[in-house]
Amino acid sequence: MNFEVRKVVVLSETLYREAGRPIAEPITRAAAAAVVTNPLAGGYHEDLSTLYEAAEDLGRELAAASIKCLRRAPESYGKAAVVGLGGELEHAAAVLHPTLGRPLREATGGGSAIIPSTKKVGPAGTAIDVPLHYKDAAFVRTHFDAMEVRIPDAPRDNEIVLIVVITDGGRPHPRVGLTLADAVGTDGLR
Amino acid sequence: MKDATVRRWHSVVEEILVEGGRPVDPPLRRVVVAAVITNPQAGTFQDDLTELIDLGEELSVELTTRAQQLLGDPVTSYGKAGIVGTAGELEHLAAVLHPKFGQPLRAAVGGVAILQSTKKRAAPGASIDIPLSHIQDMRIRSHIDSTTFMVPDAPLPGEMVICLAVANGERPHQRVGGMTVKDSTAQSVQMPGGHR
Repeated sequence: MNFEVRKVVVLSETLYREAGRPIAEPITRAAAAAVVTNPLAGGYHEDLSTLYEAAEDLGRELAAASIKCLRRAPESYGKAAVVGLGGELEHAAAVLHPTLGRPLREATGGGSAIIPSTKKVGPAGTAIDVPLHYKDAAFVRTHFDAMEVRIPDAPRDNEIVLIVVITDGGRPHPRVGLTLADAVGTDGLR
Repeated sequence: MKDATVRRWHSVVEEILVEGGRPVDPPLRRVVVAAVITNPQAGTFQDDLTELIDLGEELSVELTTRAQQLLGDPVTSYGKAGIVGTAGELEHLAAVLHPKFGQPLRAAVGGVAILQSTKKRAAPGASIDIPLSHIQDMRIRSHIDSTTFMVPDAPLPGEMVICLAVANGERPHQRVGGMTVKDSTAQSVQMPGGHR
């Protein structure tokens, strides 16, 4: 099954200066969000597997849309979902956890670290903070960050907003240690 | 509190009794506790963030105590977040949240896993979504969750809101498979220790 997609929203921000200082290599963070019909809205369904399958294909498209905005190779990633009021928090879990990881990892060239996430149920216009960390080592301190995403007219009660964020850098002017140079990058943690 | 200038503590206790039209038994409790503090480095750029790093350790001790009291049950999952006022830097939050914040909390609740986090710079009243994941292993899928928090009048431009979130269980009606608490026991032995 594929989701019925109402729209895809891409939000890209590029940072040039922070704290009054130029950023040597500008950092881009790009969110790609799909507004889709939630086929399970309005009832309790024990089996949520239709959502797993649909999320994998959509994840591939969202990752590609996000990466298109970047100026360098992907470095950190995150994901989130907002379920409309006719759905359940677990519908967010079903689109985020079982299958979304693979297309995101393929698109970013590896990705051994867990993909950090947030989820909520809410009305149209609900904002959500998408957590971010380095794709190959979750301990890399320079890349712990987040990006807020909000779509004014979504999700409607029977919709889900599924969001992927990919960046080409960490925080500007990092200075609390544990940088990319310290990462081993084999177990997803160190 | 020795060094932190705290303007207010702000806490939220959520207790979820029904989800998807079905009862949640026992109810899921999520607690967020936050300190609204003065950002001593607002409006300046300093290479040395040590004072903020130390502040993180001090705040963690107090926030942990308050969170445990409000939760009333053993902590199964945790997460953290910060909002910095518009005169500060994201890196100020990083300094408070990352180098020393985790250890007092992990020691108090018996956790070993990373605390997932979010951060942003924003005006007073901004909300923030705080990720939650299991205290033993962040990959345990039944416990990957999040909660939303805001303080109406904070952070002012020269302040920070430092948040700790804890929960007493898995997502209500969790049913998307993946790693369970049981699966993780064997694997967590192989996880690198000594997380800070």
